[in-house]
Amino acid sequence: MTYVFYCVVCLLMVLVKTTLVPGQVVFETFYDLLIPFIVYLGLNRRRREGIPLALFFGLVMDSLSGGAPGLYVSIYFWIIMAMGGLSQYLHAGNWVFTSLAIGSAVAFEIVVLLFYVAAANPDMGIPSNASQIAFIQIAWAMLTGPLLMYFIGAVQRRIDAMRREAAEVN
Amino acid sequence: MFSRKSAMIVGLLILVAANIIALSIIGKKPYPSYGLGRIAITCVAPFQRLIVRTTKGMKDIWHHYFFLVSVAHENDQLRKELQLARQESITCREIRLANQRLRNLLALSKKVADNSLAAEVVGKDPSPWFKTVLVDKGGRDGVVKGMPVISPAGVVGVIIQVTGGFSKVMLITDPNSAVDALVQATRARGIIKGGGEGMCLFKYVLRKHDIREGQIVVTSGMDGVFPKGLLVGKVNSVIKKPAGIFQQVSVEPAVDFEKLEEVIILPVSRQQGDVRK
Repeated sequence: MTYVFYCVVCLLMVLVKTTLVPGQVVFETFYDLLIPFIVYLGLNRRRREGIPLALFFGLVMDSLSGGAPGLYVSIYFWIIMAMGGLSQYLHAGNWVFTSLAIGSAVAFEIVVLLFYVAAANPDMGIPSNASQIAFIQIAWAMLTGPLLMYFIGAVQRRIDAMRREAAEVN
Repeated sequence: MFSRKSAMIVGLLILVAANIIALSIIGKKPYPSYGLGRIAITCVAPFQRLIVRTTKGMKDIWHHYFFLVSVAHENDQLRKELQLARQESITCREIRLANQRLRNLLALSKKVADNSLAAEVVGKDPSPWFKTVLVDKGGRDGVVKGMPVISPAGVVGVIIQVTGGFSKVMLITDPNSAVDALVQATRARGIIKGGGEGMCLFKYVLRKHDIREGQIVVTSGMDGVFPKGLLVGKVNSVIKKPAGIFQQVSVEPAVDFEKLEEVIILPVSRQQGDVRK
């Protein structure tokens, strides 16, 4: 049940990002919507549960993106590892901390992708509008990411409660 | 001998190094024609098509039923434009007939793209740093890697990955894209590469060529992918530095990639020649 929910969320986020968002002027350079989900998994779920999911979502993104295979898998893997480490020292439920964590994760993704773009085409370098896009993406992520995480957490709690009720009945 | 902390740091460094090495190796062949990625496209793309078609349907309903007032005004305007277009069409037909006769005289071989394929864009790249789109035609429809993709407005890109029912197209605005092209007026040759912000760079154009803003850039047919004479875009800016053998030319693509909905996939041809329907 939980894994089905995760896969549905992943599919929804990918569909929104690749079909609905590109047509909207305001959201043209929206951030990767799977990042809040990966951060959520890293902060709130066990690593043995989160890492395979992060790798699977990375594979989906790699297949839909024009970058080299393994880019998103690597990005999500390191984000979930970092968030897992952070959750041991900081309180994951704090809104400001969540916002900063998502913003940092998006910044990390931008840095890795830009590094790849620059390395793959040394004569072209980094796009001239990179800093503008990066700023917009991080700002959007910090503003809306915690909301997405809150929504995912609420549904997750509901699923856990349903599972407990079912176990008690049996 | 080693503390737990030291072992963790060493392990982490090894993992980072292994990750970078793996990415460098995989990056040398970025678009494999096999692998799990194809399964992901096969699973996600049908949903993308469903959403795109639903939103398009809703837009159509809005434009056809709720904007009738503006449509009436637009209709008047279009009637006037149609009159002008008819006149132009007659002129074009004359030119085409003359062109045909001349070609026959020169005994040029006719290379008609009969087996071209119309496809619908069902999804766009999730990352703003790469420029690819997914289209709803794949291996089952005869699409293969390397096929050129165009639209009525001009050159779109090239097929880089194919699954059973869907294909991934790398747009000419992607940094990894390269199209051999020439300026129509001066015949100056160069390579069109993606340059970010929706523009293309026309690279390796010699300084001796007199290129001006607004000049048309078309495919040269020399790359063995795109047929000769397809519209790429128009020159946006030219910078000639005091030193160096090349000039910096920026090209605005003819295709509006933000509004790209349908494309035409052309068969792979290693021959050179003009495109004629």
